[in-house]
Amino acid sequence: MYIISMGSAHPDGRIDNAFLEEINSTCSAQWIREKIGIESRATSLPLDYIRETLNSEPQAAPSVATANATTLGVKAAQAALEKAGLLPNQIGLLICNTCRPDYCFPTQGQQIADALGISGKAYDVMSACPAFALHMDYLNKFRPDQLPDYALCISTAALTQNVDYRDRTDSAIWGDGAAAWIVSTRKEGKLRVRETFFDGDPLRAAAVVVDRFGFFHQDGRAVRDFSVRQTVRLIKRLENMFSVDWSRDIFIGHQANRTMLEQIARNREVPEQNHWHNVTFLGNQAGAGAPAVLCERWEELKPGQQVVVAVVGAGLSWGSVLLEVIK
Amino acid sequence: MLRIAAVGWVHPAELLTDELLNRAGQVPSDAQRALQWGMRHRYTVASRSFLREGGIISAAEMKQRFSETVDPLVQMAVDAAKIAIERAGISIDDVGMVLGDTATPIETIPAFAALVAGKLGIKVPAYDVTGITGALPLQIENLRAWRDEAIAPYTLLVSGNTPTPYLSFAEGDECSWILSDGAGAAIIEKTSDECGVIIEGARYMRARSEEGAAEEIYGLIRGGGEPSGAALDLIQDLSDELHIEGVTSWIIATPTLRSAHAVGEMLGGKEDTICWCADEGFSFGSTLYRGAEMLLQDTEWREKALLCAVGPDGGVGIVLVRRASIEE
Repeated sequence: MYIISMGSAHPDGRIDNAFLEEINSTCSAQWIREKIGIESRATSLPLDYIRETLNSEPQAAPSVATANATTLGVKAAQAALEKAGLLPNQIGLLICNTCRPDYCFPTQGQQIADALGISGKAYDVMSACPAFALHMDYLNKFRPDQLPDYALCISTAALTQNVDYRDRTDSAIWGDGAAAWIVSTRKEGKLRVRETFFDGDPLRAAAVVVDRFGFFHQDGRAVRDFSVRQTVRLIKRLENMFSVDWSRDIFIGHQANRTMLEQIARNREVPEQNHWHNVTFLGNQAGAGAPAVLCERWEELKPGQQVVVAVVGAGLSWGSVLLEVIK
Repeated sequence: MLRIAAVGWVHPAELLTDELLNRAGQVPSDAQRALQWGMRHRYTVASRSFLREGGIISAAEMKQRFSETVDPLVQMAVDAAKIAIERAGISIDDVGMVLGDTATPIETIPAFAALVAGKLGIKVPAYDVTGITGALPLQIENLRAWRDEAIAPYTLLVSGNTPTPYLSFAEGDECSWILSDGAGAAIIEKTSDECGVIIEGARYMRARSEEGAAEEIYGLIRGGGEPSGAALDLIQDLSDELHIEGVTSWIIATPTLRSAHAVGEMLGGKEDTICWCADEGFSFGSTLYRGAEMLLQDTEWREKALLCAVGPDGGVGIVLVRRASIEE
């Protein structure tokens, strides 16, 4: 199985730490920098709107937003299609992950497929932040002859619309974005999939929640500890199964926050230049974060390199993908 | 080879009768009710006060409405799953994967499957493969397409839907005469034994979304109740792909009696061999689980049966099954 091409999309708006300090007296730019390591976040909400309302009524947010899960997903998919030189009607399957759909039905995948003019199957395969691992593991379960020539995977969310900007921690974390990647079992692409893995512990399902009519909320400390420990376990598992050489290979984790990612990279002795991330300037884009990083650095990938993607999130759930650059 | 080992289906206790709907503001004629919709009644998780007020009229009120109920969506799915697990004669620890589906999430994350699995106490991969009305055929089609080693010995499929709190009964929308709340669950067993209800094939597809009903994240369910013409065309295409010769029972999950007969007859059924499983309301993907439960409990059925779903959301799917033997 190969990844043929990738695309990503983010809204133009940026929430920087100075802005958060300005709208919330309990929030300090220095505290955010030290504890979370994020400098700015992509947002679909106008800054004046956040300043005036602190997004206290999330149900009002879509009416002022400049983008949503559908428009971001469409943009990311169009970029992936263009890079692959494919037309929408060549996509035989579209699967989509989103932490907050624009509609409950039709599915988010159907809406994006219709907007793109894809007439093939389209539905949602969802487990929030570990979407990249889930989608790759899901497709990897199929017998190759049961998949179409090209499958389009999308993870998209505009979670800044579900953030309570009176909360200094949540407001410092989230960004909006989408990533798309085209997978084929028949056509060789730049990245060969060596291994996929996905697992979960639903007994801790209540630890991370987005309330449909309210805000994102999580058991912060427990989730942070879980994220670090579980990501390290995922990487160790791949190190034990395959020859991973951190002087050459690349690590991409769930873009939750930078300090957490640095802790993981230090634990596995991944040199800074081989630890790729975008959370510092785009925020936590949920399931879109890790694939968006890979998309942004696509041209830097070198033949012979391996990419370890290890992602965790709500569910609780986690997964990994080991990719090899072949051309 | 896969078989449907067992199915469970549950509904809320509160009946949503024609009389209650008439009081809430909808007054179709008796003839319309009988011929077009054909439902005996529906079920709702909402309270009587909600009905008196004609249904929800603003998004802000929805949150309030849900606070009046006790996590009904997940709880119904958990109850359905427990029934399926018990009927399959397995324990919760035997379940190796949970695939979920809902059109009406109360939490948009985590996955509905994770919420259900968590309440059941199952620590296995659990995520959503959401096909709305076509969810059961979609998930079965996937399992049949997977490599053998990727399929758990027992997979729990679960679909729960509570659309009634997202309806405005006062506006007289077709959907409010049709939709009902309920949850279904099935245990799909990987087997080499020619025994029980064997899955011969499954297909899923969807019509373009603008041709069907829809539910905005903060809005009401809108749109017509009947499946679109495009969706009906798709069901014919899917049945052609599956080669459904020899079918003796047609179990149809469509929103109305009229559309059930149209679909059943299009696929070769006769009036006495078509069974409409939405006579107690249509709850998207959960509806076909009721049909599957009816089929598994029918001791007269001997040969091939077709489980078929066509929804107002454009979701379309069919599952072809045969009874390999009658279990004592």
